[in-house]
Amino acid sequence: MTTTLQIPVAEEIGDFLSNLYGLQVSTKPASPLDVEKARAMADYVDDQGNVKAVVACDISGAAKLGAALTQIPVGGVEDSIDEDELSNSLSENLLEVFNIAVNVFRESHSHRLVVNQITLGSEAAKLTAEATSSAEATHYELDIERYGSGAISFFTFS
Amino acid sequence: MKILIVDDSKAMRMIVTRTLKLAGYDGHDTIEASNGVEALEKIEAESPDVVLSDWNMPEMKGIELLEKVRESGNNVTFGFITSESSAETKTLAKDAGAQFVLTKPFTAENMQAVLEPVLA
Repeated sequence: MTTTLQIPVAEEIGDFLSNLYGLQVSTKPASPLDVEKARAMADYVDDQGNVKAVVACDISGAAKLGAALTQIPVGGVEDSIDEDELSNSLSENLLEVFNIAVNVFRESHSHRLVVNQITLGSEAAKLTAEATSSAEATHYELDIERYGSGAISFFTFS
Repeated sequence: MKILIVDDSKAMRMIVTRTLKLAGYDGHDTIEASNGVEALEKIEAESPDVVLSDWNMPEMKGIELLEKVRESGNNVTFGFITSESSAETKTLAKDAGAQFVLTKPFTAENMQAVLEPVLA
């Protein structure tokens, strides 16, 4: 029997990221991510290569999730948001955040999920739309200490 | 004490170093390697007291690194710091001779909890 992964609740995501960054992160439910604005997307697969989860962010969420990992100055984050493109250092950091984020899915310990593909930039919009059309979705707004807010969405598949 | 941090992510090496300080290990030397091959060279050259290694790395994975270290007769304290959290990973790690597996993300308290027993 296949089971759908549970999408983590807001508090779990906030605690997870707070532990990762050593910064206060709060998370609250938000309106659906406009997938046209997705600028970072990661998919997670099981042992058979089936996509079980997707995480997608807008440019603000992506930049701030990456910046907080090594506390990149706010100015660099703002530049990336203004240019609608992640800098190399933000991209590098975000790759690591997405890698670690596999453990935000509580059942990942038994499902053995691994990160499969990470897409950054405008291509993420198209891939997010394609990958998540039949998924169960939950949308959040993150608020990361020092950096502010951004959108992050979780999609899971049965 | 000398601690070798092995991770292909520079950001993660920074975070491990930061967390070691927060956990009270700031008086120790830390050295770094970005993959298993480089780590083997550092282990040979610098004889660290503890190795903290990622699991998935290019060139040589963490488990291969550990196997080679143990094959050489080196019983250095070795732990994994990894996003891999499955029971299977932990079993593989322990069977290969790791003293602990610490899952990312981790706090200073988590770090203390795994290091204190092996460094006592």
